[in-house]
Amino acid sequence: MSPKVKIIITTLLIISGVGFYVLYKNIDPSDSIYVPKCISYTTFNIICPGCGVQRAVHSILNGEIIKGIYFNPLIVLSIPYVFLLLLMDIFKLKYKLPKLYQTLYGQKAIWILLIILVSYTILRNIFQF
Amino acid sequence: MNNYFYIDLDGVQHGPLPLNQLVEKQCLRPETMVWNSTLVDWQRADSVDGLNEALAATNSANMGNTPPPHPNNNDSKTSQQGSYYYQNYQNQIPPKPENWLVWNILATVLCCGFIPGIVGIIYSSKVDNYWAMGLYSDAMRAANTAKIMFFVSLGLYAITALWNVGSLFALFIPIMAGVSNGVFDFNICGFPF
Repeated sequence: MSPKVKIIITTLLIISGVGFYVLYKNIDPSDSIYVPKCISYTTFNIICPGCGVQRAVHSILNGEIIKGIYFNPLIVLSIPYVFLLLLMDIFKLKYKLPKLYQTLYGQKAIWILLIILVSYTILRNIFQF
Repeated sequence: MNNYFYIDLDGVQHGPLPLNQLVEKQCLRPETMVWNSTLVDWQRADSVDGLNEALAATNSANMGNTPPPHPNNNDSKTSQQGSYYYQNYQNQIPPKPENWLVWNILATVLCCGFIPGIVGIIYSSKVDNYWAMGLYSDAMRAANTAKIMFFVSLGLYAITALWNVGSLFALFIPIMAGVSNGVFDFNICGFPF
């Protein structure tokens, strides 16, 4: 990537980041029609593993972390895990810290993650949370 | 646990062998590619912690017995072997494919893409393992499937975006009708623009 493209991409990312911050801090997704709705919930009535993320982000940005966890416990609690993976992917840290990468994101860890994710989705749809 | 695999001059994979046998066979050169379960990628033998000491020991023991490879003479056997080895090495190990793990996890976790996302995560997790086992074409295939699954999720996101914009427009029609009748209350949509 040329430095010019990098600068453009970074600027766009910063602008969209600030934009998302302002929008999600000020708009409450629970009672606004302008916030996108989950297609799997609106069409099939299936609560997907990501349902509640927008409401959770809104609460967390307003300082109500407990309320955010209540909207989507799994995703909110796994933010550090996904963020670390993103960092390792962007900065090629998996070659510098291969053991850490293997423990956290190796095949075993991924299967555990998948089992958690699928059972979470099933439980959400049974108990409607 | 610390058994090593290595690739010989003909580009053939050998192993697993424990460290002392590897040194005894004297097939190890500084540039030999080795791998064991603690390494992510194949590495030059002289860059692996346990091996470079062993290499230094064998080198000092062999001092004066075997000449180093002749760099300038193209007809010499060692140089031919060297280039053959290099070609084979190039054929054997293609560049490691991107595993798309982080993108599939993000697609799964952030709504709509959760079904293709889960399939994508399964394939992503296979990529590194296949590659470490030397099954390069399988690794490439798994990486490709993982990539396709991610783009399927992206497609679902695009459909969701269109769907939402569409339903917004559908909402606007009664709102417009309400405005023209003078009965529209701005608080109805919750967000006062």
